[in-house]
Amino acid sequence: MMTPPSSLVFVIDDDASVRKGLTRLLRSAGYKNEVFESASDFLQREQHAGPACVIVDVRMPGLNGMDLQEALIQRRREEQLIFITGHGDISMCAQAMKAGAVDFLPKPFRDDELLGCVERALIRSAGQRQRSLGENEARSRLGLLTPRELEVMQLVVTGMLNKQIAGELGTAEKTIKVHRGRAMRKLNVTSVAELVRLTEKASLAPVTVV
Amino acid sequence: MDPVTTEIWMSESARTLFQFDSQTHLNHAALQNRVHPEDRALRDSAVKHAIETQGQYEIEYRALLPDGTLQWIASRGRCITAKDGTSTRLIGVSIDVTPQKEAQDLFRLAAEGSHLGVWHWDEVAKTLTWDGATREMFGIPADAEITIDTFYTALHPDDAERVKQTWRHALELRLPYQIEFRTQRPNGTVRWVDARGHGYYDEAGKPLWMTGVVFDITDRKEAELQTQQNREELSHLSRVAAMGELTASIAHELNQPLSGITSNAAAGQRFINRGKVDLRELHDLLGDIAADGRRAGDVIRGIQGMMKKDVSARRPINLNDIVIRVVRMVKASAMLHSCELGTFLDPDLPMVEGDPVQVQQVLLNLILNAFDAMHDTPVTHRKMVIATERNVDGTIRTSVRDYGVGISQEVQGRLFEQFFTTKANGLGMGLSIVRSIVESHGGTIAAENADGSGARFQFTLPACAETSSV
Repeated sequence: MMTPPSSLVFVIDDDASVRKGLTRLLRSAGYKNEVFESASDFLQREQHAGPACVIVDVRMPGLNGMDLQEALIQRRREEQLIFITGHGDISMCAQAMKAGAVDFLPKPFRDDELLGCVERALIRSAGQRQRSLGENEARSRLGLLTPRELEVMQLVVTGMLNKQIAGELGTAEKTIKVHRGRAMRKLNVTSVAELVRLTEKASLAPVTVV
Repeated sequence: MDPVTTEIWMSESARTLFQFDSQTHLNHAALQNRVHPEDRALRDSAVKHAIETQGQYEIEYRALLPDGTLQWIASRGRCITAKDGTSTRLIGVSIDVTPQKEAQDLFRLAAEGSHLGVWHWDEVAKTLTWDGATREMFGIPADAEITIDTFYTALHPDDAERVKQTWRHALELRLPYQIEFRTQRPNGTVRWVDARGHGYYDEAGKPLWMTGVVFDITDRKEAELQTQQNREELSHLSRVAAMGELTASIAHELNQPLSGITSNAAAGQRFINRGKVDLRELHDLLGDIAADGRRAGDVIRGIQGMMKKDVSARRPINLNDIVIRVVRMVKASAMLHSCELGTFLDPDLPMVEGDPVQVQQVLLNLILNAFDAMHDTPVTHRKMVIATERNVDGTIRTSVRDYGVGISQEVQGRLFEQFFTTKANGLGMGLSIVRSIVESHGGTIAAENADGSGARFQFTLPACAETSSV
């Protein structure tokens, strides 16, 4: 198994047989897992810190699989979703895949097919997690700047010269130079190129699909 | 009459009857003249025979009178001989029996025209008499002797006991006898007949005899059976169609346990392959597989039950069980329709006598209609409540309430009509079959708009006589 030991698989299905079968199958393949009877039960659980994937039934009373996907997107959470379904919901399948689901499996599914999906989902979740960690770090570094320094830096990355920035902000070129030097030190960057990478990292959308 | 001179003395009333005036001299020939030509020989030989044998006669003949009328005469007479043996006289009476004869003729005509058989049972002498039509109906030759056993033997074995009981019952309790049953001829031909009779009793109330009629109702019975069969076939078709609407739901119901089975089986193999077999876990796992297999079997059996054709097995059923079974059947369908499904069941429900498959069909149809009615209802408002309740009069009400379009005034009166539908691709059979099923169970069905929005369909069935809920 390539996924880190902190990985966790969640199963959400209103059918007890399906839950029991899945939890055993996951355990037999060495995946730690937790099962839930409904999507709202799952949402009440504290977010797992490590890589996570959710195997969820599309059709359930109350919140269904699609509702859960929307809720997770809104909360900018990075659990990867695997949909399972007892019907051939083709339109739903397309919608779910577009919104970033790992796969859409009709019941009854092959064990290796499902486990393959789980592995992919966890790797994707881990990668996503990595990226969001970088994003958080970049953001916190940018957070050290004063509003004025941030303003100057935002213009620097567009390729403007100090003189142009001074003209834009209505101040002396010397003042810009001071702000710029202080900011570069705070951010621990030595070149404009490095600065550009850092700001790009920070503004990375958390849910962008690879 | 003097047998030698053939001279006849006749009373005034007899002269009036035969339209002779009081002066006319009468003899055998004169009287024979009044007799219908076709009956003259009959009368002549009867009278002569009585004289020759010194015996008596009793005949009925037609008289053709001068005014052109025809009358039926009943005549009886006998020879009496003077004590000294010298002279003999034939004396007798003649009565006009035309009205009786006409009534008899009319009855015979009616009997023949309607293939009516006439029978007579003498309770004292224990003898049975059948006319020709009755013999024909039972396939008994005209010259065969008739006894009560002839009758019993001619009954269809499945009906024999019922007929004997009804017949004895009628005679002993002085009730009118009326029964429909089958006769079976020696060649195997089965005919349906309707028999009716009326008993006659002495002053003490002891039965003397019973007279009655019997008529062939085979054609009517066959038409009835055909109608019944057509109704059952239609009802079956409607049931199959209803189940057809549930295919997605059924697939879901089967895929759930199948999914459990495949996951558990794969897990078991993996545990074994990894050499980490916890026997208790393996035991539970196999138990779950078996349970899921049974669950899938139940789903299949439920479908087979609804698909089968012959459904006339009535037994005491609990309507709550029926509701639970049908709700299980449509649960997945409700999810597909994004419809919330609720039940409100009276826990203390008496049993009803019914055919479980047909009652399930009624409920299934009402639920499927409710789904259709909520097609344009916003998803958040789609809801259905199925309730059972005991009425004050002891009947049981089962209702299906939806939050759909409701019932418009123009369709209200025609909802349960055959071939009436508001659906684009509906046949208009569902509700009419539903009503005929409910009515054949002695119940009623009604529909109304519910408070707020939507409609409520409810059917009421009578509770079993002496059972209570188990």
